[in-house]
Amino acid sequence: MTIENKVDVTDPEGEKKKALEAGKSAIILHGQGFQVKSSTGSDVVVIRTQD
Amino acid sequence: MAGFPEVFIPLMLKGDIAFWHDFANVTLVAGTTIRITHGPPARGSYYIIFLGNTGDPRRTDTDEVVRTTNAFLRHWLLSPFPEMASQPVREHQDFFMESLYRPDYPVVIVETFDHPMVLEFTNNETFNISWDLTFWMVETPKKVYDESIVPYFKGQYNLYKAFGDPETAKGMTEFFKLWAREDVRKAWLKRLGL
Repeated sequence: MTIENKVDVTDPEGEKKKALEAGKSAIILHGQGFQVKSSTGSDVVVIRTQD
Repeated sequence: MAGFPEVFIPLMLKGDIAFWHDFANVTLVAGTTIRITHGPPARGSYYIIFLGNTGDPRRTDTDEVVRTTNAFLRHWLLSPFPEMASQPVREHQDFFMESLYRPDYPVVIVETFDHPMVLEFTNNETFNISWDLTFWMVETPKKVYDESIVPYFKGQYNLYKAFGDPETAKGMTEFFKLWAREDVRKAWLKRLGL
């Protein structure tokens, strides 16, 4: 499944809502050390907030 | 470890360790498994990560708290406890059940260059689930870890061991069940002369 990265997002909840409406999972992350390595069952959108 | 580990406060004040905080919101579509990693730290350093629940897992459609064994967090433990050195890396699975939601039940993960943290979230339910998590992160040189932090963890281990089996977390569960009772807390403090 695909992993789509979005950085410096100012409206993480809005991005999450859009992902769910498209049938995708979503992870909002604060912290640069985390990486999404894989997803099975659905595509995932990685939403990084501004530090 | 019902709160911030006391040992870190003097170590932070001395500048021996670094502390910071991250958070994540994980929203899993039904039938999804997502694996995330963190780090690793530089060789010779350790990350100690306290993963806590800041909002119970909820259905995204009804906002109801989810209690199920069909959704869970899997992670791999590099045990901080010397008593478990024979099995230094173990797989552990936390179901989205009551015990995981207790604020005093953080998942403690020790991360090294050779053993970066891996978290795997699975939702085998028929509905979407969203979960808020917090990460307290500590970076420490191996020397400080060995001399100051391992003895602290060892004390915690022995405390939980007094109440049951720490490897299955039964000791921890029994400890917190008893500690929630005011009469037990008062009796312990009296025994300690406090």
